[in-house]
Amino acid sequence: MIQIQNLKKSFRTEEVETLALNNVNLKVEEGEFAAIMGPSGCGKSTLLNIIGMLDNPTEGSYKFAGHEVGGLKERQRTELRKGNLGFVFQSFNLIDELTVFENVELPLIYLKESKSSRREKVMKVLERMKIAHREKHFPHQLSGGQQQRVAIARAVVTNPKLILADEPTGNLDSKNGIEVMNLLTELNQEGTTIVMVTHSDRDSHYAHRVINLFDGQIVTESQNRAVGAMM
Amino acid sequence: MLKNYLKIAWRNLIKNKGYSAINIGGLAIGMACFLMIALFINNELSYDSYHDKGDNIYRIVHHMGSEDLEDQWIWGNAPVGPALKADFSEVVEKVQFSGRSDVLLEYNNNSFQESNCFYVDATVFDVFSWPLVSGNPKTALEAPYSIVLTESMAKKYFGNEDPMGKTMDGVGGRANDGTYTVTGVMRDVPANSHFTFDFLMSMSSFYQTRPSIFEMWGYVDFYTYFLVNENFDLDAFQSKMPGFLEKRYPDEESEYYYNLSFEPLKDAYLNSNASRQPGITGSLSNIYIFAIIGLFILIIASINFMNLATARSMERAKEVGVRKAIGADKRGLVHQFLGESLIMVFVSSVIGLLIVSVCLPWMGNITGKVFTIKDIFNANALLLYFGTAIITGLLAGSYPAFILSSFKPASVLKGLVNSSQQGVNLRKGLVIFQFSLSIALIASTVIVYFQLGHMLNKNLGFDREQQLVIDFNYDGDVRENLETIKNEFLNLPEVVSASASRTVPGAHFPAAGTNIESKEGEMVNYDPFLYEVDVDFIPHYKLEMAAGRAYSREFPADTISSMVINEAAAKEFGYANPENIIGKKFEQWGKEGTIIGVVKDFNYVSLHERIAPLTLRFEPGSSKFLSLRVKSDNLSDAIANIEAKWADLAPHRPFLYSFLDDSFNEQYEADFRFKELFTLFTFLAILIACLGLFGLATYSAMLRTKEIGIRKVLGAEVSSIVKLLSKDFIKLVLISIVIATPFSWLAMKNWLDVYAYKVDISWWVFALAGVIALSIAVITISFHAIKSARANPVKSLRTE
Repeated sequence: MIQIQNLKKSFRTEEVETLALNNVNLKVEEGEFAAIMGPSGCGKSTLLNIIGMLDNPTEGSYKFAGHEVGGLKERQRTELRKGNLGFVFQSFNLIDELTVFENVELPLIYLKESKSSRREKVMKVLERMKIAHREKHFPHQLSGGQQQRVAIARAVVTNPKLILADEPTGNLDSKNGIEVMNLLTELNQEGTTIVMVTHSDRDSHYAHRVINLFDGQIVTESQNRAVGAMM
Repeated sequence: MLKNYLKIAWRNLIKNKGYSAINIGGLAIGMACFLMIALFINNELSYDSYHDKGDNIYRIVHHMGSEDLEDQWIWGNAPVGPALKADFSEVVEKVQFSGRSDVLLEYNNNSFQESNCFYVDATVFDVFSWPLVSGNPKTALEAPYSIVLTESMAKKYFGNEDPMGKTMDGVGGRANDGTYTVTGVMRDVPANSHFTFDFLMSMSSFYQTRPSIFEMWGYVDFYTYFLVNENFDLDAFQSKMPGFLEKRYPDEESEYYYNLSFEPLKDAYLNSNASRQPGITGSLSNIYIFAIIGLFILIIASINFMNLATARSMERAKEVGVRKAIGADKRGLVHQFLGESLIMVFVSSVIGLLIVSVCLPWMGNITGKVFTIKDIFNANALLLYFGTAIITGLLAGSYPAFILSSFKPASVLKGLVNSSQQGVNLRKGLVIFQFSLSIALIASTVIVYFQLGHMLNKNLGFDREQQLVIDFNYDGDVRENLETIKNEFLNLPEVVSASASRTVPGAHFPAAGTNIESKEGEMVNYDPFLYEVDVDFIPHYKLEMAAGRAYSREFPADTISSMVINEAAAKEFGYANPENIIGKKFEQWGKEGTIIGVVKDFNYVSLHERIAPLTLRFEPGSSKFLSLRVKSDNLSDAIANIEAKWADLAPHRPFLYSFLDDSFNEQYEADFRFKELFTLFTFLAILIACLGLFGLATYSAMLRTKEIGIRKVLGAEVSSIVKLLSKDFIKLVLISIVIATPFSWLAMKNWLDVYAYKVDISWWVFALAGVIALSIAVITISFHAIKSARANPVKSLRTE
C-alpha cells in the first residue's frame, strides 16, 4: 500500500537547512499495523505527514496504492486523501464549533454524500465507538477519551484504506489509552491499514512491526510476534 | 456544505462575542456613515432634476468688469431676455423672475410679511415643472396683480377655503401697493430646488408700475431663464454673443465691459461660480470631501475587519488543518472564509440600515434637508448599499481568507503556526494607514473649527453687538416720519443709538453706476456697491474714518451733495491714499457733489468674499431697516418695550426684527453645517479606528499572556508591562502623525482657499492632532495593558 524509496525532507530557514528525513525506505503492506518510534525530533511526524499527503517530500519517491504522490499538487493530494485516509491526532483536533455528530459528518460532506447516507454512517460509527449518546455535545463537553473516540470515529467514517495515528494516546490516561488502542486494533483486524507514530512502548506492542527512526533515518525494524498481547 | 459554513460562522460569532461586537459594530457604524453620506450626496446631486424640460433650460450669467476684476452675477437686467428670444430661433421661451421681494400680504385681517415672493413671467409654468393644483398654468400669471400661492401658503391664509378668485392686499414689493387676485395654487416647490418661493406674482404688475426698468440695460433686478430647442449648441450660441451685444447693448463709453454666458439648469446648484444667486448654492468640493470621508470610514472599518481576522487566524488554524486533513481543498476554504466575511458584513449592513433609519430626522436637522424612509428603502438605494456591502465584504474578507486557507495542515496541526512576519507587518501597515487617516481628519477638524471661530469672532470693522434691526420694508409712512420715529426710540432708556438705512451688513444691497473724478481730473465710471444710509449710520455702526469726515447735521449740504465711500472704492478709482480723494467730484444716480469721507474697509459681506468698493450714499428716504443699538441689561424687556413703541408709531406694520449678529451669521449656515457633518464623521472614523485598535491590543495582550506572567514572576512592575504592551502601538501612531501631516496640510490649504479671510495653518495643529490621536490610542491600549499587567501571573502561566 505504501512504498517509499530514498525519501528526503529538508526544512529551510533563512540561516540553516535541516534534514528531517534522510534516505528513508519503507514499505507498508495492505492490512498491516505499523508503529513508528523514535526520540523527539527524529522525523516521525514528518514522515507521517508525508505518508498522509499533508506534506510533500523534498526528494525521493512515495507511492500510495501504486500512485506516485511525491510531486502532486495540493489539490491533487486533497483529492487522493479524501476517503482513502483517516487521521487520528494526539490532541484530537476536533473542530470546537461543531458538535460530535457534525465533526464526524464533515469528511462525508467533503465526499458530497447525501444527507441520509451521512446520517446513517455517522450514527453507525458513533454507536460503534460508544459515543452516540453524545452526538449533540460539543468537544469541550467531553472527556479526553471521549474526544479521541470521536476523532477515531471521524477518521473511520469514510471507511478509509489507511489510518494514520499521530501519538493517539499521548494526551490520554492509561485506561482511555488502552481503549483507543483496542479500537485501532479492531479496525486493523477488519482490514484497515494503520500507521501510528508513538512514544509509548506499550502502544507499539499493538503493531505488527515497529520502525525506529533516529536523526531522520530508519535505524531498526522489528516484527512483533504477539500482536494484541496487551488486550 | 453551505449550511456547515453558516453554522461555523454563526458559532464563531457567538463564541467570540467581543470580537464580533467590535467587528460588526465598527462595520455597522461604517456602513451607516457611508449610507448617510450617500444620502446627503444623492440629495445634493438631485437638485433641479425634477423638471421635465430640465435638460433644455439655461440661465444667463452676466459678466461685468475690467481686466483686473470681473463680477459674474445671475441677477441682471431685463431687456436681455426678450432680446435673446427675439434674435435667436433656438430660444423657444424665456422666463424672468424679479429679485426676491418682501411683501406684506393680508387676507381677511390676517397679515404676514412674506419674503419669499417673486414677480415672474406668465411663461413660468411652460418652462419649469411646478404643477398647479388649481388654475390655468398658461394664463394664471398673465394679468397684472395675479398671484399664485403654494399649497402651504394657501392653507396659511385661506385654511380650508378655496383661494381661487379671492383677493389679497399687498404692501411693498416691486409693484407698489395693490390688490392681488389668486389665480392659481401650486404644489410646494421641492426642497431640492436651487431656489424656492412661496408666492409668484405676475410680472405685468411690476411692468405696469415701472415700465421703464424693462428697457434699461443698466438696471439690475432680474433672473433670466430660457428654454431652448433640441438643436441648441451652447458653444455656438455663446460665440454669437459679441455680435448680439454689439447690436443690442446700448453704446456707452465705459472702460468696463459687459458680456453674457449661459449656465445649464443642472449646474445651477452645484456648479455655478456666479454671485447674486436667487437662492442658496451647494458646494461641489464639499461633496467630494464627504465622498472621500465616506470612503475613508469604510476603509477604516474594513481594515479593522482584516486586522482582527488575520490576527485571530491562529485560532482558526487548527480548524483549517483538520478540514484540509479530512478532505477540504483550498478553494472550498477560501469560499468558507469569504462567506463568513460576507455574513459579518451583511449583519453589519442590516444594523447600519437600522441606525440610519433611526437617525434620519436628526440627520435632516444637521444637513438642513428632509430625508424620509423612502430615501433608503428604494431599489436604487438598497442596491447601492448592499452592493457596497458585498464589495466591502469581499475586499475585507479576501486577505484573511487567503491567509487562512493557505495554512499547511502538517504545521498547524502540530501547533507550529505562528503569526507570520508578513502578516504582522501588514497589520502594522494597516494600523498606520488607519491612524494616518484619523490624524488627518482630526487636524482638519481643528482647522475647520478655527476657521469658523475666526469668522464669528473676527473684528469686522463695524459694531454688530446688540443691534436690533427692524425691517419695515420701505414702508412709505415709516420713511416719511423716520426722524420722529428714531427720536421716539432714542427716548427709550434701552436704546443707545438708532440709524435708518436701505441695507444692513449681511443683507442684500444693489450696485450703482458711479462716476468719480480721477487724479487727472476726468470722470471715471465704475459700479461700486451701494449702501443708502442716514446721517447716523456711520457713528451708529462705529465705522472708522480713514480720511475726511462722516455725514453730519452740521453740514446741511450733506443731504444733497456729499458722498462717503470705503477704502476699496478709493483704491478702485485710483487713490491709494484715501486723503487724496476727499473733495473730488462724484455723480451717482442723478446726484452730484463731492466726496467728503472715506470709511475704513469693513466686512459688510461674509468672510468668503473680499471687501469690494462701496459707496455709502446719503439717502434716508430709501430706507428699509431701522437699526437700534440696545443695552444688554434685560434684553427681553427691551424687546417688549421696543415692540410696544413700534405698535404706537407704525400700527399698520408688523414688528419684524432680528439681531444683526444672528442674521449676519446666517451667511455662514452652510459653513456651520459643513463643520457639524465634518466633526461627526471624523468622530465616527476615529471611533471605528479605536475599536480596531482595541481589538488588536486585546489580542496582542492575550498572545503575550505567558510572557507577561514570566516577566511578573521575575519582578516586572505593572508600569513596565503596560509600557511593553503599548510601545509597539504608540510607535505606529507616531509614524502615522508623520504621514498624515503633509496630506492634511495640503488638503486644508485647498479648503481654506474658498475664504477670502482665513486662519493660518500652524504646525501645532498637527502636533495637537497627533497628541489627541496618541491619547486616544494610549487610553484604548492601556485598558488591556493594565488588565493584563495586573493579572495574577500564576493564572497566566497556567494557560500554557
